Amino acid sequence: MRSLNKIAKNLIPYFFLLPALGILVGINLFPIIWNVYFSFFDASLLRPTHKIFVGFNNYLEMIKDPVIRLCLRNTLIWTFGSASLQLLIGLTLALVLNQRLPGRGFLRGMALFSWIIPAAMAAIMWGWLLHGELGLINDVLMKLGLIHTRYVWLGDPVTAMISLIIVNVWRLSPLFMIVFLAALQSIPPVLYEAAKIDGASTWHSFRYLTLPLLKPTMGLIFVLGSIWTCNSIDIIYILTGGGPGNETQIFATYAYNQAFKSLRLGYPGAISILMIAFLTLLAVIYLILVKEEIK
Amino acid sequence: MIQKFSFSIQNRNNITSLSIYLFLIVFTVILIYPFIWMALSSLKSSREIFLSPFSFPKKLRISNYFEAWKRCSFGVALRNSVLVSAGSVLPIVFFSSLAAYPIARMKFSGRVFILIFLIIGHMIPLQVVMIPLAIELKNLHLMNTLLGLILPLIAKGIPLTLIVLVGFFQDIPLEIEDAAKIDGCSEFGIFWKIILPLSKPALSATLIFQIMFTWNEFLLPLVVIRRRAVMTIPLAVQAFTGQDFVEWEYRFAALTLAIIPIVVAYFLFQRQFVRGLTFGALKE
Amino acid sequence: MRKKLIYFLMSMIVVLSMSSSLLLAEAKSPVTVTFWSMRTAEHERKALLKMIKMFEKENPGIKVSPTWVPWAPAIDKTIAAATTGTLPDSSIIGGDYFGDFAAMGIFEILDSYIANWDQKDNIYVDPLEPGPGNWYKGHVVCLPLEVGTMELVYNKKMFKEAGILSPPKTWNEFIVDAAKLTNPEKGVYGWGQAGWTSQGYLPWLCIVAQHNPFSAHHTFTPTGDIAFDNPIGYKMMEFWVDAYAKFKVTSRSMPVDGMREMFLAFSTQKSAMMFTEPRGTGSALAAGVSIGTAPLPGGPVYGISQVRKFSTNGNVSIGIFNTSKHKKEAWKWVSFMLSPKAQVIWASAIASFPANLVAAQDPVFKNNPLLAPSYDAIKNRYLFKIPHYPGAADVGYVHAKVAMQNALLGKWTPEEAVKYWANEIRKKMKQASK
Repeated sequence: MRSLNKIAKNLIPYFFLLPALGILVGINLFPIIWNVYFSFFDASLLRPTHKIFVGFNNYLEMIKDPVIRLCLRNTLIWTFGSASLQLLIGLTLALVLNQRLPGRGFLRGMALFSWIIPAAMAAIMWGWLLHGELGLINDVLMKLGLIHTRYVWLGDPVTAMISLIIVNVWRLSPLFMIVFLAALQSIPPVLYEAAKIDGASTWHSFRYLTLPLLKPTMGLIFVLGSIWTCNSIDIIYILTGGGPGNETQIFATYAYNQAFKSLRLGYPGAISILMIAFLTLLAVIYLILVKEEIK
Repeated sequence: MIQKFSFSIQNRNNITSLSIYLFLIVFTVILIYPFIWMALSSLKSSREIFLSPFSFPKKLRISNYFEAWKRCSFGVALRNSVLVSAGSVLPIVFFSSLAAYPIARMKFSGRVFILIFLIIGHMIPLQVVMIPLAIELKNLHLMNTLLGLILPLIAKGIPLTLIVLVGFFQDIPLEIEDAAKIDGCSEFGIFWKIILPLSKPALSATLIFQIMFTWNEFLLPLVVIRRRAVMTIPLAVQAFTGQDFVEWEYRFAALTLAIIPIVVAYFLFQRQFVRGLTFGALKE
Repeated sequence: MRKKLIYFLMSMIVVLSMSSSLLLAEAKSPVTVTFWSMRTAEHERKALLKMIKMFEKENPGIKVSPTWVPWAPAIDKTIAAATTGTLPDSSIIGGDYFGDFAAMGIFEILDSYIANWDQKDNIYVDPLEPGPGNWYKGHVVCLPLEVGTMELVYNKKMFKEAGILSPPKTWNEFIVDAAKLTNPEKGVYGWGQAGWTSQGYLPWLCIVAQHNPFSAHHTFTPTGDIAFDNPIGYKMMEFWVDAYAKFKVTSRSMPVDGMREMFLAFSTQKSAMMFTEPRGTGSALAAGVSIGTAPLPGGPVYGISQVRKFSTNGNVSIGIFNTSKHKKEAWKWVSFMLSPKAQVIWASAIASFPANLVAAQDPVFKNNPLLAPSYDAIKNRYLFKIPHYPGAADVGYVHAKVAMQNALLGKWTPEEAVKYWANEIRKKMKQASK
């Protein structure tokens, strides 16, 4: 009787996990297996009856595909460029908003507007702002005398990528700010008082007290932000569609094109497996960070 | 913890505080500009939007809103969106908190493996698995139903919610639990009576997150839904996008209407929101 | 306490299953033909609803239930529906995806329906090339719903202000006029090229076909090779790039700009000329721009002389899916859509040339100056369908765009760009014949 009780006790955690696991397995498992399965086949919606096992050919094709190399480069720039800038700006904003300013609650509330608006909507708005002939940004820069002819920001590979990153940073850094604010507000004030008594300057207490205490938060939000950015397709799809050429193509947009434009089943499957592997790596880093800080 | 650390404004000269304010105001304007722009554009005529996209409307055309409401059956779409959001957000938060509890506070075999599996769900872009997902929903006879939207949305929402909640639950001191155990409280009792009430900030943060995501989801309803009676707002707003032109004034009006519920939800939970997003990185 | 958890879970399951039966409920009526319309603007909806009313009055046993699906997401939606077997009975079919959808085998073959159809001789098909538009492997799988010529559309007021008296007749004149109309500081360009876009290649295919003696009217030679992968094609691509890079008469525009943005620039008077079908003038007319139309320019380009008149036909079709359970009723609806009286309503609503040639005799169209180039092209038999092959959509939306964008960026030479493009088409053809 006692051992039965013990078994029941050991099963408790699984009872708690059951609903979440059940629905995730139910919904996610099939698409993942389907993608893995088809990544070993040459199949296309265009030839419904044609399906040939090709082993690792789709993966080999990825190595040879020049666009995949561009995608790798762009995905890294897009993901880590965005995440680092978001970190920097989010932290700065948090430090400023953490001061006891009248009306800061209002400002804090307003800040998240950029994030509340659907990404697709924000991208459309930025399309208007960045537009060569109609855009406000060109109007302003020309009035300030910084440029003399209207510049098409999304028409050049370098400025296109920079513009995309700026839009993404604009969208997500307020969220980073909120996370940093949460972290800042839970640092015990006693620590600062002690530092003050020791004669530390504001900069010193920031450098040697605030920053080390924020480090874990930074790591976590950086990884999470990278995952969100790496996965998000709306901004790029609406603003550049991966162009000009393939200069802003990332894995997510490329896999999407391969599936819905090229109508292949195997190759996009292989690309998505690569993406999931890349993101799982990020997730593992995330878990290590969590573990390190907690245990 | 009530007394929070801050630089006192009195210690600074006026110029510094003025410049901080200026910086904040400029930044806020940049951040909320699109919403203002959209709201202003929704009061213009199509022609005015093209010819002077960034000016103040010459005449406020409130009628755009009535027209937009009527033409995209906004009332029906609103009802469906509320059903879908509520129907997915509540299970997301409840199931995630159930799952987060043992992960954060118990030791059992397969814990890390299960956590990784749960989190991987967060990694998969919906676009990439859309075709197999559609096949799956078809086999479950869920195409063209609200449930066909709700179930994938729950699966999509759980991982991130779990990440936030695991972090938060870990911050709650174990001693509280021990005291309750001595009082003869069961595991579920501890979860229900102690952990959940203490986690209100995290719960409301995840609630806002998920309301946002589910409210704005476009691709999933696009593929799953085709009857007007079960359309959600992002799909209904598409009514104003033609092949050759977009009826921007109506589109903006409908989008502005669509955002209002989110803004209200956000301001309701805002205070909790900030405290809830610690992601477990803090150990006090 | 564990009991409580179990009770809770059980009640959740009960609630979920109850709500699911509620949410799953789907109303069904006896014979309803479901129809996807990608024409979603208000006036287009009104026209379709009017036609549905007429149809339902004539056929009391049948109801038509339309779903409005805008073009952009329509493709993904159709593909997802095709893989899951949830297609409607009938739908408007975009020309770009015709080849792909046909290869997917989702169309109902219409041969037997057409055989006894009183309108079969009145429907517009390619006068010179009865085939690629609506045929697949020797069978009719779709019928044309709308017809339209690629033509030169220009802003009369801007022409007058620049002192240009008549629209350009040759490509030389075209560039000279465009230069006169260009003012980069104001963001105004003579030509709205839309060169970055997937659709930007249609006028380019026209200029190649005008000058290319090897071409069997468009993409392919009579032997099935790529018609533009030769020095003439390279020269024409050079001309296209030069208009942007050397003559600077057209804006660089955004990489995602499509027809919609081209129309936007034209209707906001940021460009003075564009190439489009008559239907494309809608937004400019609504914005109060005074519009003139003319056939495409001709004449020599870079010393290569013109060999034929040429224009493409925008290809919007209508078809029945073979998964339909009400094919007979769906055919009734499709054939009704193509009847003269329905075509008059439809084509005049969407500012297109009607697909039924009896309807084309209606004064609504005859007296419309915007349609004059279409009448000319049909009468003089130089209107050709856009080529269809499985994979055409991928080439058009992805690879042609990549080729054009890289050429305009100067990253690839015109020859490299054309070769890349042609090779992608060859790959598709090889795949299709496998």
